[in-house]
Amino acid sequence: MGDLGAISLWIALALAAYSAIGSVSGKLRGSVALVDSAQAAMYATVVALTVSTLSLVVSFISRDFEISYVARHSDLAMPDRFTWVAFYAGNEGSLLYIAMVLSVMAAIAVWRAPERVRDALPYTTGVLMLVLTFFVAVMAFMANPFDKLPFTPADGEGINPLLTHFGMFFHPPALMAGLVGITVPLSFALGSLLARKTGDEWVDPGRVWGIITWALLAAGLLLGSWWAYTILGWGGYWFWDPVENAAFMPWLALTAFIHSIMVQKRRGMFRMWNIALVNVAFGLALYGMFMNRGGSVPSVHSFGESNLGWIFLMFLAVGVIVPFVIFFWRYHSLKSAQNLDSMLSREAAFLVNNLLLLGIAFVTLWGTVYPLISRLTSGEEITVARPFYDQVNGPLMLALIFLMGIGPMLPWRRANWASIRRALAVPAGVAVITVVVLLAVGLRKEYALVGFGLAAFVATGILMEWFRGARARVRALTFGNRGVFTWIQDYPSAFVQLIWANRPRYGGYIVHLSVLMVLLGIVGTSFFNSQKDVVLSPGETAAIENYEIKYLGTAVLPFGNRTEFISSVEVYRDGEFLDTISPNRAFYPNHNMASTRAAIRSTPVEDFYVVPSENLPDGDVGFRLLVNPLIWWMWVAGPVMILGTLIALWPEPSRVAAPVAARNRAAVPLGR
Amino acid sequence: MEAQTVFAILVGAALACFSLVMVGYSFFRGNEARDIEPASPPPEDGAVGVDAILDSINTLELEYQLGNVTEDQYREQMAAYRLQVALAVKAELERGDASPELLLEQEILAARANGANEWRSCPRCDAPLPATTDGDAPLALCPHCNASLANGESSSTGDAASVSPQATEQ
Repeated sequence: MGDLGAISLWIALALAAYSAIGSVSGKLRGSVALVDSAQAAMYATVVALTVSTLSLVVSFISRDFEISYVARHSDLAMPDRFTWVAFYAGNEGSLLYIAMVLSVMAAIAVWRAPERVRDALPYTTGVLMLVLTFFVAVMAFMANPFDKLPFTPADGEGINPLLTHFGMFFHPPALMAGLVGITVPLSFALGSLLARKTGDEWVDPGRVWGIITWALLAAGLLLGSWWAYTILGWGGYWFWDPVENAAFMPWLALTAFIHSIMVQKRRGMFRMWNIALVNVAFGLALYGMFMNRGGSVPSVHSFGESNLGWIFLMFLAVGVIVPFVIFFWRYHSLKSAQNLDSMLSREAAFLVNNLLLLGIAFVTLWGTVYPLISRLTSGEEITVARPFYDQVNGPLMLALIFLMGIGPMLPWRRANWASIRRALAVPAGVAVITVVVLLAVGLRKEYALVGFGLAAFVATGILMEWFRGARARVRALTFGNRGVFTWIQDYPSAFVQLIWANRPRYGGYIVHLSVLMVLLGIVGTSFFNSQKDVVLSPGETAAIENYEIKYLGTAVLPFGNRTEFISSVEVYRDGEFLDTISPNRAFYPNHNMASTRAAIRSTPVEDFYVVPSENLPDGDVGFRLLVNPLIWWMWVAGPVMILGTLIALWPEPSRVAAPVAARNRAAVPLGR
Repeated sequence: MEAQTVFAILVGAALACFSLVMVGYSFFRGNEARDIEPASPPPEDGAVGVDAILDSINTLELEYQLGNVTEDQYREQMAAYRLQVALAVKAELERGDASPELLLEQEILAARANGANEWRSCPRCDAPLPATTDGDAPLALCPHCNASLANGESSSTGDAASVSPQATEQ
């Protein structure tokens, strides 16, 4: 299957390059046939890359160790279910995955593109296919997943043990799809600019694809945090690792973009902002890919053996410079349809939102590249660690949460102080009461108090708006004539109707609630967690806060590719037996690497976390014990966020263009 | 040659043929249905689309129901949006890419405007009124709801509150 994979890869390269060149030159030369042909080539690229992908998957399933990539990332002992993970475990396979995803996204984006962007579509296709050509060319010339070994080994090296985790089925693919997916909104933006469409034509597809890629990145980041929490053995979930930051920064820029583009959709404003934001997001995504594949900083998240750094660095330079050159080329045409009526308006809130999010992104970027800058300037590498990010980004993030509470309460165009006071009085009151109660129970940590207060403020604002909206609907439908049964009978359905009738708005509110859940997890674990490292012999006990554990013993289980040490630990809380848990640690001799699995008793109040950090020869085990308050909310936030995103993205009925109008228009008007 | 290599070559050749057919089809099928025509005039520079303004109106109504905007703000902003949507509809009609609903409304309004003498409607119930000819005395009451038509105010352009392209041209 390796030969077929390689052949289809070369066909995909030819098709993608032809599509990129053909669509743009067809548009410039006024050739409908060439534009159509280039678009057909784009669809054919999906087929070619699908064949290539299936070839690699079949090679893994059949353990075709003649293929170097298969030999390096699987072995006979690897369960078949990890084939999907092994597929993108290394540089070559992950590039094939990225190319496959981008080709599918590009095909769907062009196929479903609204009529109003048809003029610009050849340029959009050109940008999409140019980026795809880069990835396929890198594979074909520098990192071919179908390269063969001069001999066929009896067994492979095996999959990286850290990847044999449920989260790995979704975390890397979601992140890679999110990073490369930013190409789609960027292509719509650049396509419009190149076609001299400097209005709002690209806004709808740009917003939809912006939200899709934002959600993919968010899901990838959360799943990655969960993976780190359960497998890396240190009990945390975020390390401000340069590669983590590299995925976090484009997410921040996209967060600004998907909010800011609403202003353009509604008011025809922020046109320059939105082009700039999607350019920045794309540049940061390319930076993330560069960090993963040969960046200067090693990380558990990067492909360690990569030699592709320089080519990705060059692509990063081109990917940042060219979009901004196009942006400045059309700069003077990007005037807004409206002016900002008042600083006390939702538009102004979105403006501040942009500034805060970009501020956090650039602080993170500065912290990420500072070691490199210090090494170049002073010869001494100064690493920037968590305290820097906490001190600088912490207040900015709290300001962002505060804005999340106020922004949705502000009407478009202009608000007045009276209506703002009315809208914010109850949320502010609940926030103050929350802080007072927390102070009364003895909580004295300022940041935590502010965090909990803001969470109460934002959540109350959202819940109140839902209540008022449902009440208005009930009153409108029943003329206020219903009694106590109204609550039971009418409010739930009115609430559902309210959400459904305003999907983008309330889908966004649900996502805001998920952000609050993440905030709870961060505040809980940052300010109230406890940690203890102990070494126990069988029968010994250790205590942390109101928990106590009793270590019973360890079973040693040999497998083909690893030896597992499964410990049995009884857990007690306030002296009462809760459960017997089994944290385990496995050693993989082929990789000379150990992998741990924490045993976690999770509740909405707190996690009790036990991980074996070392198995000593005499049967003693070193355990790390943690109590992590409120972290459960962080993992629940993921599904809530996805629900909100789906609601926000669910298509709304739109006005249908008149057939007569369609007849009067060329399907792909050509010429500049 | 090994069977796997033969299989790879055959499937690869099929894929290459498929790709060539996909790419070449456009050059051979003819382009009668897709003649190059001048692009429709672009929307006025800086204009916001009708859909976006209608969304904004829906949002404003929601904000008003929620109590986030005052009565005065609601009226002021609604008037601004109505003017905006009227201008946008007018621009769409001029470009010829209006929605079927708008075109239908346009035809009805045009018919009413052109045949005002034959096709008038009651201001209360909107029912069509019988035709009158020059020299006939105007109807005093609506034959459907008995509303007074004494001042001759029967409607020929629809509800005054609704926005129509004609209204914006006046």
